[in-house]
Amino acid sequence: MENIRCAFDAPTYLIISEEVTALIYYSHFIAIFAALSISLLVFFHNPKLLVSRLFLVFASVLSTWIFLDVILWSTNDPGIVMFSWSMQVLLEPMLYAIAFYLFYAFLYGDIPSFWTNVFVTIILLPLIILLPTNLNVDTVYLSFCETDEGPLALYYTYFLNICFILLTIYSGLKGIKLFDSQKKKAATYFVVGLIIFMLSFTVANIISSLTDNWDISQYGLFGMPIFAALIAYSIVQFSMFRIQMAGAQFLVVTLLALVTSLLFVKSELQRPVTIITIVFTAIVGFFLMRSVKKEFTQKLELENLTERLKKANERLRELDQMKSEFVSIASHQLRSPLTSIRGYASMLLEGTYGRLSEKATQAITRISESSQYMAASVEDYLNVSRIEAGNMKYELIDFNLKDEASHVSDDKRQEAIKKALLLSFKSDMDTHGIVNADIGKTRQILHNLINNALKYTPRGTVTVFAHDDKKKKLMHVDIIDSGIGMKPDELEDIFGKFERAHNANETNVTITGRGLFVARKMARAMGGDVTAHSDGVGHGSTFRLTLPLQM
Amino acid sequence: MSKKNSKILFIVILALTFLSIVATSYRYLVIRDYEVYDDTEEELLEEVDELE
Repeated sequence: MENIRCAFDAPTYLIISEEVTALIYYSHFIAIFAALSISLLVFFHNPKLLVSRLFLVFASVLSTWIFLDVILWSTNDPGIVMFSWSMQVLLEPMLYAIAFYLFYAFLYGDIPSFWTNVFVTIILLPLIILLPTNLNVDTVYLSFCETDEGPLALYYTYFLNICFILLTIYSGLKGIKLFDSQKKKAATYFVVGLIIFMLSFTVANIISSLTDNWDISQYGLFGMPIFAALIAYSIVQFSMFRIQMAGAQFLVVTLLALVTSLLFVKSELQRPVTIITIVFTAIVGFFLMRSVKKEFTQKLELENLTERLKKANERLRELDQMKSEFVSIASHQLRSPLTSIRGYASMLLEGTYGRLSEKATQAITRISESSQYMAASVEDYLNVSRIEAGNMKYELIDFNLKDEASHVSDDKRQEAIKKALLLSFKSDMDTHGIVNADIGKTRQILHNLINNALKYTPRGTVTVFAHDDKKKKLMHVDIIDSGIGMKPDELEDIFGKFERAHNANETNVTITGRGLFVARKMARAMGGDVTAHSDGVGHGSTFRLTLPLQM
Repeated sequence: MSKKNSKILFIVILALTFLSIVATSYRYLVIRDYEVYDDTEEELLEEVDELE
């Protein structure tokens, strides 16, 4: 039996034969090159990813199947035909099984459940066990070196293919609701790739099997590079891989494969093969050029924008520094005359320069109040410039915050009474309320917050409520007012440098919006915070000073 | 646990596949146990018929 050979010449190196048309080499080797190069590219991009590994396994099995096909076209040895044919029968359903696992891993990042694996094992077992028997392939016919396919190869493999296709569709449909739009898009590429694979691979094989014309099956392999490219695209797209780079590398490999395959082309096939080569290269080249051009334009725009942004940022910094310096100088120069005005007004009111008429007393009182307000504003401006310049100094000591909050409330009570508001102090403490902070700055924060509450409350109450959170080791002082309130989206804006509540004009207040900015900056510098809460316009506000509690 | 069992299952199926491939190659490539049918003459006659 060893000397019996089919009715044509033996190939050299197992695959190179005069009997085989160039188109077979062309279709097969492109598919092998494309599948292996793309899968290796994806694998080396992220070797730890399950889907990358499975894609490499898939491409390797697919390449083996294709290579066996070239052997079958070339060999005249019946033994090699029987073996290669059997291996193809085994590898085809295996490919569908791996495609299912690949799809599953791609969607869920894991392998299917144990019972699915048991099912896959059970349906694969007959194929594996019966592979070396006559149920698979039988007698070799010497005229074309073909075999008779048994029920295993003819029917069971198609049953397996259908099972794996259904499993793939089921696993895709099961999870479709869970995916976001990006994953759905990537999954669509994957499914389209899989459909092209099934159409090109299986349909061509089925038609060949039915018509007994195996020349048709080789055309199916032209779908392989598209399939491999689509699957690779969906994998890399989801992993945020730079597809342009993958495209450039793929183009180089494809061109290499195309040029190599042209070596096998003979005169009668030269024209269609060359046309296919040009069309394929043109399509890949067009998409590659388009994406590279797009990327290049985006890069240029980005560089341009970065440069402009850098310049604008530098200019802004300069302006901010100039403004801080100006505010600092102006504030210092304002402070001295203000001190004089306040001093002389105070002396006039005390009667140092003689008794004043009632009208004069009223006028001097106004001067005194306005200069006090102005002095407070100047102090705030100075604080802002100190904070921005990083010159604010804090002297941290242990003191009782509850007592300080109570004292500041007492100080502010007269002001509240003048506005016909009820300012009260409450406390609910489990601890002594000792905090480690700068006592002067803390008092200033409380003043600012209570001032704010009094100014934004036309009528009703302002409550200062001291309480602690032993678990979190925090001490809170809430300033709760029944004032104009705020919209939820304003709650963070009001801590800006010159921000005030959008409906501030309703209360006719004369503040510039530095108080909260300064209060929050100071509190944060001492390890605490100032936060705001409001149930909406007309529902009052709560400002909270939080400082770390000393246990 | 089920992952471990799945792993065992994969190893079993891989081992069986390997054994099956070894058995197939032994049968067809080593001991060359297969039927051969020489249909070259029939094919030639068919071609001649088609030409006629």
